[in-house]
Amino acid sequence: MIGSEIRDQAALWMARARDPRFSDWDGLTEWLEADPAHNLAYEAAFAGHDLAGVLGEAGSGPSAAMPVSLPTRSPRWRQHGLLGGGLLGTAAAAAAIFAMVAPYGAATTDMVAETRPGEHRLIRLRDGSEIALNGNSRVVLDRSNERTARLERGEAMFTVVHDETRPFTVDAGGARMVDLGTKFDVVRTARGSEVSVAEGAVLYDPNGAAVRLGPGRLLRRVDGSELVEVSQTDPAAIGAWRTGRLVYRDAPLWRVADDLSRATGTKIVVDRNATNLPFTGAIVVAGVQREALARRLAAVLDVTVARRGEELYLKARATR
Amino acid sequence: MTGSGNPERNIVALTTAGYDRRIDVHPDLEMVASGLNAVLLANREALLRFLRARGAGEDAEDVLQDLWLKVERLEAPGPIADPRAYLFRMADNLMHDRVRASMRRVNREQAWSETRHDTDGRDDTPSAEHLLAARQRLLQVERALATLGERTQSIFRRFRLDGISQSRIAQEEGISLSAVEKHLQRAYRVVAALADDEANDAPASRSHTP
Repeated sequence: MIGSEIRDQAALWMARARDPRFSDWDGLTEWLEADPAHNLAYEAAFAGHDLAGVLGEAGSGPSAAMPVSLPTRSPRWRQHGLLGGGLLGTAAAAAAIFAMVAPYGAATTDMVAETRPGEHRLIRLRDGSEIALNGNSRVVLDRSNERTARLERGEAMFTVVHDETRPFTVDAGGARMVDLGTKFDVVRTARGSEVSVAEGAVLYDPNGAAVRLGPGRLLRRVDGSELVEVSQTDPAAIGAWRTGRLVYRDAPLWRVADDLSRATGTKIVVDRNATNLPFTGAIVVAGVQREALARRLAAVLDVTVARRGEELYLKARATR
Repeated sequence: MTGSGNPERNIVALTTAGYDRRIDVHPDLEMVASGLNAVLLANREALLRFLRARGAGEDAEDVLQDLWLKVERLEAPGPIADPRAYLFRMADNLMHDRVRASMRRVNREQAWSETRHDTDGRDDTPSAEHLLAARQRLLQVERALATLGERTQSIFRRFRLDGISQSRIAQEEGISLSAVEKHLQRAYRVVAALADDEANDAPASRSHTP
């Protein structure tokens, strides 16, 4: 029979060791070595840990009304989401907000591909997968595993040759996704990360929320935030930048300016009062001269365009 | 190890214009132990000690071999913040899986000798029965946790189900880390006792089934 004190100690060690940040494994070893009964009690606590998992299963009463695949969130958290971006309008929208994993440490960086503003590059991997890099972008591939990419800056379109046994993983500013047979686009914007799926599917945050994104799904995550937003977009427009076409539906002006800067190599700055003006339409940037760009943007975006040195400065029109 | 200092020196030649010219990327892969396996080698003795203490006994070397193979087969493990802790966690889980597997085997053999329903040795208990058992387990766990304070319960759920780290729970609740540990210790004590009861009851109750 195992004494009560040992069971108490075992429960404490179990509580500690199940924490993702636990590191005192030598301390645990010493405690286990002290008495064989310690390991038995530890195993019992481990079985208790397993058993408690039923609390998270579907249909487990009013206390856990969330589906199994979604982590349950505290009311405080949900409220934060409501205040955070005003993203929640309907119950359906609520289902599109998920918890995020904490960003993890730096990878062992091996292969770096970088582009200047206005420059496109295509990287072809040995397995046949392709990464199209937009202007002013930087992607890092893990030398020991080419199917692990990190988008550090800019935008990249991934056309992945699917391999069930070797998932293709992309990290963008701590947002992590795994391909499920796919063509998808990832952007590091000034404010966070976006992933949109053109074909197939992507699993976002595979070890946490595990959100499956099908064709036309767009997922946005603000850097440092716990929440992500999922919306619908036109799958045909995804990756259109590769042909010099930028297509938008209700996109904020800052985002359009972001893309234009990348695509043209001319830095485009948006006035504070105009950053969130919505834009819907298509802009063709291929072959446009710098001089013509300002004129064209003024017409297309319905803003006033001023030159400030090398930059273009967009301002809302005074009268409409 | 693969790190060769400045990553910029490994920039691969890529096409700069258009998509008609494609250059294949062929990094000169070095056939050396991956980072994680190197950490495993460096911590071999400590891991063996842990495995022995976790009940592996003389099999410790074999289990370590299993661990090595598991590490080799890891698919895109991604960056790991604390590789040493990661390996110990894997070892811990490996031992737990072994205990569970052997317990399942014992239960199955008992069920087989007692009921003889299952002709090929697999557990083909009707799903309705499974469902009922799962529901009962859930009720038991909820009832057991209900003996604890509300705060202990919610901290345990947050930790066990939502996977929130203890330091973060401490922050959210505005209490110390050791206070969070105390709450979780109480909860683990309760669910451990319940699991113990279940392990002791299961074979006995089975013997009553025709």
